[in-house]
Amino acid sequence: MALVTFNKKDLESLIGKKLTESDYKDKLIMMGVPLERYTDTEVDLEIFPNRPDMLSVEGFARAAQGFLGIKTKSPEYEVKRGNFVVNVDQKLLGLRGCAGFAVVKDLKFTGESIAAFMQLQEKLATTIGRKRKKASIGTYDLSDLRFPVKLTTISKITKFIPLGGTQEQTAEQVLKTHPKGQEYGHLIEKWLEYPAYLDGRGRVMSLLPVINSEFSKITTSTKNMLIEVTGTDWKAVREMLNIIVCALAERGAKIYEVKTVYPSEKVIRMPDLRPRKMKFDINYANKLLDLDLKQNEVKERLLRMRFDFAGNDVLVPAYRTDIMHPLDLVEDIAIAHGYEKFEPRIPQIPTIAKPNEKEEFANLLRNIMSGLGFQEIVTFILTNEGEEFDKTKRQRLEHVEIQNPKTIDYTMARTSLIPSILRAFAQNQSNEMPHKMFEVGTVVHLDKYYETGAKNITKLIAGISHASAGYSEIKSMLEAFCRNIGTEVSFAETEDGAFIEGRVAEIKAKGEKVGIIGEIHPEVLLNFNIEYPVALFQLNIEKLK
Amino acid sequence: MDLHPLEIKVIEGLKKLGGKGSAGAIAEAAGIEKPQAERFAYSLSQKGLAVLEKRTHQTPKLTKLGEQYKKEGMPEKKILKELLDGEQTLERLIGKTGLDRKEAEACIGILKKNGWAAIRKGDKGLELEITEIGKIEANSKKDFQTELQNIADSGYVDENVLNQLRKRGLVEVASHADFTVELKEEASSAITEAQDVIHNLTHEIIKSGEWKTKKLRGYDVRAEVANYYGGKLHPLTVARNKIRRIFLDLGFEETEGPLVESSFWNFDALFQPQDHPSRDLADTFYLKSPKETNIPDAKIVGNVKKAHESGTLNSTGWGYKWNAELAKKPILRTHTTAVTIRALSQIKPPAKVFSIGRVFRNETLDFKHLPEFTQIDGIVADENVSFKDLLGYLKEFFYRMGFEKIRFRPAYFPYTEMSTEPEVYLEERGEWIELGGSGIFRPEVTEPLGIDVPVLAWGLSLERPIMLKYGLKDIRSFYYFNDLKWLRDVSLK
Repeated sequence: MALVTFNKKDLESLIGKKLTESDYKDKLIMMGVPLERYTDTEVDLEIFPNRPDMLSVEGFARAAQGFLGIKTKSPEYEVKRGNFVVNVDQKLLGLRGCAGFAVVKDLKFTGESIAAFMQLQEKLATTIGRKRKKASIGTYDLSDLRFPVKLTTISKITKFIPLGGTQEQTAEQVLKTHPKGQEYGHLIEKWLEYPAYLDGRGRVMSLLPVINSEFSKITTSTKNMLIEVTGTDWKAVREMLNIIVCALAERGAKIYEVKTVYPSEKVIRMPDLRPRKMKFDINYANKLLDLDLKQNEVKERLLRMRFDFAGNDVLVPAYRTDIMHPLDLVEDIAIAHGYEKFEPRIPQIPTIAKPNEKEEFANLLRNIMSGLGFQEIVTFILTNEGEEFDKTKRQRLEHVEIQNPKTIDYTMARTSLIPSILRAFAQNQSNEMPHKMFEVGTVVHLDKYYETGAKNITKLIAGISHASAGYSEIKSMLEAFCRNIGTEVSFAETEDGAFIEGRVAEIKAKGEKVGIIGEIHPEVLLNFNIEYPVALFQLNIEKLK
Repeated sequence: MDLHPLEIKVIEGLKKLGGKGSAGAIAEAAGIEKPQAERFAYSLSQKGLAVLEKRTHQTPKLTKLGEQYKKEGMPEKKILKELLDGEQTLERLIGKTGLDRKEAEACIGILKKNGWAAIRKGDKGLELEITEIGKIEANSKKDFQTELQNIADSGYVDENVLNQLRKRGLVEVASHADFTVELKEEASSAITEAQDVIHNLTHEIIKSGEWKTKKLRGYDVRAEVANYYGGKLHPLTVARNKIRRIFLDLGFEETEGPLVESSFWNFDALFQPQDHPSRDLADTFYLKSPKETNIPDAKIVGNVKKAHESGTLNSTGWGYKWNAELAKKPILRTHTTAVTIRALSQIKPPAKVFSIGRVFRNETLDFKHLPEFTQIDGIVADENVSFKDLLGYLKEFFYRMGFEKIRFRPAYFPYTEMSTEPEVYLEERGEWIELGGSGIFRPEVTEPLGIDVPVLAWGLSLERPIMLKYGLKDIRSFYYFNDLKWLRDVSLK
């Protein structure tokens, strides 16, 4: 999810129409672009990941023109022949050797358009570029640049002036001290030499994918520019390059091709803005949408979504990188048609209902427990080892352990409901007594024979707490519960760190252990900051069905 | 007229007092507590059986110094007694009486004003000589000390003396209101009548038939009573069951799945590319144990791999190299779509399946975010379903949940196309609220599982509609706070 800020005046002049707040809020939202903020001068819009072309104000304007019926069809972007050459060094192959280029001329930057351009680069590098890991973007003023440019590596002690700086620094210093070095340095810090672009005179143009050098920086007076997208993934490189180039072309800039020469003498010419052809069957669309559109109606809708046609084939513009399947065109037809125009159909697929037996049983138990006067609680499955084992003085079991916990509070999945209910008693020390609570909840046990290595187990816990809460009271409640489900239980002495010795028993049904009952040890109570006696029982309900 | 048993006691108490008395006196005479006497004397006056007369009392009370003089005697008296032995200097008197200088100097004024001593300035400071009336005073048994004692004993004091004692800071006066109650004539007949009334209906009274000849006293039906808390289901359970009921009524089958899930079912089978941001460590809980999961048979895995790499029929796929090792990584499931997609691999259309269950996100807990919450997922697989059916199922569901106005906004999910986010309109807030995500599963999702019909799918939040219903601002009211006060008071309707 990406949030972009567009200057309203700039955007509306690109669209060619003045828009009201309700145009954004009620109309353009139905194009799939929710409005997040609206002011006199700016709008914040949420752009979904499938439409990176709308991360640019130009691309958004292009789509809006179609959606609002101001302009249809895909614009044609001409790529002129050029004599710009970039050589790729053998050393980069397989590391960061996917590189695409374009030269753009006749730029007329204004304060607004250059800000929009910067935002676009940043958003693309964050989204498709996966925070520059997959691909990053560099732009260079052409006036002082010498070709052929070279994608190669530089030693860590190579010096250059980083963008915005005044003094030369070594590449290693830039990685350590420059804010961008600290942000993106981890992507290359293990390299023996760092990836970089050098111009025809051997000057460092940029340290990849961290920062450009000062000498070729872009300003509002930049007229001609080299764009480079470099990374580890060809698809990402092409998508990003096409989206940027088409955005600039929307403002009348002229696009020139760049030849990339690989060590194998292979030459790649970029950018390639030719539309892709996609076969399209209107019956497929009509069936999925349950519409009865004629060929020309489908065409009208796709033209408004800025597609074009070659016969009956759809031409997909180079910037529409999300179109993977004819289904994606169907969605665009639906959007152009207007989601609000689809009449929801009353459900009519006849199938027979079937509740989950486990869930039904859990509900029966909940009803019995609330009938016995217990308040239901619903608590977290996530917990930590301290709470689960140490505070309850229970033996550490093998358990589901989280590899990347964000906080120390949630590092594992619970194996028992006892800590959960003790925590709830602790949280209610100042609420009117007596406390009677229960939970039917899931715990997770490691199980190497189970497909995912860990199995859900449903348990029931019920606890009481008040000035004289004790074993006989909770035992009478457990027995009442068992009568209600027709289960006969017996009790056997046992030991458990959480309970008082001699006041804890194993609950058995048909000779098998199904749970535990007893009075909680005062030390455990105090570990949880509970100041009143607690007695409880826990049952594995999967063994009671 | 019905009388409360304590009202009867108050009347009887007043009779003992001759028909009139203060609340304190009534309490004593009737053998009840004073606040009870006050409350029921008042209720008698409301019933026209007694008249209340309000009085303001002033009660003198000894100060700390007053208490001291009451115990040790008045300082001027100590001096006078010394002077009975003859003329003395002030210095000497201080030494003999043990008074402090300030106290002794204050006494000079009192002795002079009352004419109890003659005072001169001599070589060694002030010299005092007792007068005749001073001698009488020195031997008198009655003085301010006895007055202080009286005040302590009975609260009574002459007004003139009281003023002097107040000026010397020995006594304070507290004022408070009291009332006297006077019984009216009607009370007598009322009490006779009330003798024939039953207060507590007992086993004996029912059996003996005593209730037939006597009247059962009516109660103050508005009187406050103690709180009662019985057993109760959690609002989440009530909502969950309501939702289960809706889907079951619509003919769905309910299913469930493991909380520890493979990345394969949670992501890969849903056509989420392996470098998709939602698979980041920052969003998903990966596990140290278990270390690995089993992924399904080679056929399904092979199909999924192909869908990612080069696409299914007519699809380009994501165009990257799919890695089975990443798919085996165990995680805590991030959505219950993992459950419905598992179900989809097993079913034969037509089929409708739903699941409600806990999901996990690597979020920091705050008033808007929980690291685990509950989702509702549903799918409908049938040859003849279309986008309109998707909207129809969602509209029906939300209508039954109590939301009448609904719209569908275009949205994006990697595994659906037409994707839409249903929004309901809340009149009281004047805005559209998003309540989930939905769409038709992409062929890249269904084809690898051998499903060749369209599949409608949605994922909704359980907590969101409940928060809207109760106007809750803090999502931690669920799972985290476990506040019994809220749980006991909350309406389940």
